Amino acid sequence: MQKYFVGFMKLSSYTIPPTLALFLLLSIWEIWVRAANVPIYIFPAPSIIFTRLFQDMGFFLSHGMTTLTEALLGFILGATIAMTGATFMAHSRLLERSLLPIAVMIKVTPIVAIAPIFVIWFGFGSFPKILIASLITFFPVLVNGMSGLRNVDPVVLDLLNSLNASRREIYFKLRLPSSMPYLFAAFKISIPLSVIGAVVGEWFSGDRGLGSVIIVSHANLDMPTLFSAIFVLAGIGVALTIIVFYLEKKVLRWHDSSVIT
Amino acid sequence: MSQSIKATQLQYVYDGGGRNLTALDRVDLDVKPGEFVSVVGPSGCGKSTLLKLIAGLLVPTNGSVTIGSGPPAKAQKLKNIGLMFQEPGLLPWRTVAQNITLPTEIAPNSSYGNQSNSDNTPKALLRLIGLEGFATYYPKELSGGMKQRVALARALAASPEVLLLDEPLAALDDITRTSMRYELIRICEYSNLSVVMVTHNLREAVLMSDKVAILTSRPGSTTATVTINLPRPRIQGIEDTLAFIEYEQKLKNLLSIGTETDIK
Repeated sequence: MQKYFVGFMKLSSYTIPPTLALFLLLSIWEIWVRAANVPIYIFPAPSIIFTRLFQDMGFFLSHGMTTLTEALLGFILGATIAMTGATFMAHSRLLERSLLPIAVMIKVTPIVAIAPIFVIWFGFGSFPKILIASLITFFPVLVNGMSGLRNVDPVVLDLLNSLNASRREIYFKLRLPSSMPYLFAAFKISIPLSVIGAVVGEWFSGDRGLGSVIIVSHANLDMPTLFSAIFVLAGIGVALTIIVFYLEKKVLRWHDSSVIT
Repeated sequence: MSQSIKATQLQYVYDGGGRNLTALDRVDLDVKPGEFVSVVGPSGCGKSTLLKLIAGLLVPTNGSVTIGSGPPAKAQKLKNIGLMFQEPGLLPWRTVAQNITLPTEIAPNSSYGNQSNSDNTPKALLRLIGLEGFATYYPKELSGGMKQRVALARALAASPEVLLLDEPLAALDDITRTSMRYELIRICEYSNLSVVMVTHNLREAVLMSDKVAILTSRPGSTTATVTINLPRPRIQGIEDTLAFIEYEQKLKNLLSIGTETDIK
């Protein structure tokens, strides 16, 4: 019984302070907007935003699901390709020298430039958004994956070589587990970026997803809807981040780096 | 059945981007089956390189090294080599027991395989190193001495016939180091392995070995070999005998001949 109480206290100490801080921030926002009589089409009060949000919960959730799905599918696609690439490039310096500059070129090209091109190529459906999200995910996972696969304990490497271990055995028993902390660091960056990628993709095409909600409501100066969409995006971002941190804690239980929260 | 180790006129040159560094030049080493041989010498004289050459992790530039009747590569395939370094090098995501069984998970490539007897099951090994009950612990929960003992158990897991130790006790504090020395002696005497141990510590060398080979500094070459004729099993108190102290002195003298008077 006491264990649960302690667990509850710990959880509360992590969730209550930020919740209170957020509440305080929203209150200040509310009071200031009312006191300064800021027009609704410039900066609506939180109360109005939340009213709009809860009135049309289904609407926002449905579009939110679209964006979330595109982001996650893109993330999975990008991470898989990146990890495969990292595996091959970690084992071959020649491959690394050939392909890494191309990866860098992709990385530095802004997505807002690539997104419309993808729409022209792939149309107005979900695919271009998934592709953008995967493109954003690709570079961090590739670079971190390669680092992780290479950065192994030399003692263990010597040991495995002295036992005539094959490259495959070394990969699965040493390199891949060693790369987990690096990969999770990349995931923490890539997942929120995938959401942004999906949203940017939606700006340039389509009538589905929170990105398109933002575009349309912006055109109509419908600020409450716009802000509602932003709040939902923020909620998605926070939820995904919490999930990644939780997964990291489980998978990397053996790691002695102090995970935040 | 332990095997002999023989290095003949071994030479190793590091070829690093135009700069050649001769790490070892004409090293001879002769380890009979079941013998415990220490290699001592000042820092940087190539002791670790020698060990890696014996283990087959490096290929000699000249000369030869054999384990038993064949090259180290053959011993590797037969998983006849047990290896231990200064750092334990345990896999942090595995438990103690899983770390110990790592060598046995590597597929043997030869039809000979290794006889697994009741002596090297994880349980038996844990008992041997005195860590019964720690099978499910993770490395981060262990002290330095405990980790080294796990590394030793791992080195013995595939029933090797040859044990190569690169300053295995150097990272331990004095107290742990002393007790570990006697444990190592006990284990090596019991398993009758051929052992090559690199160490800086002359006391350690005299205490544990049948022979001590002296390696001079860059480039490393064997200048002398001292046979230690102390009775086995080596027990506590032997370090205070006159014979022991004389051997230690002899090594000290042999090491101060040459350009480097500083042992470490």
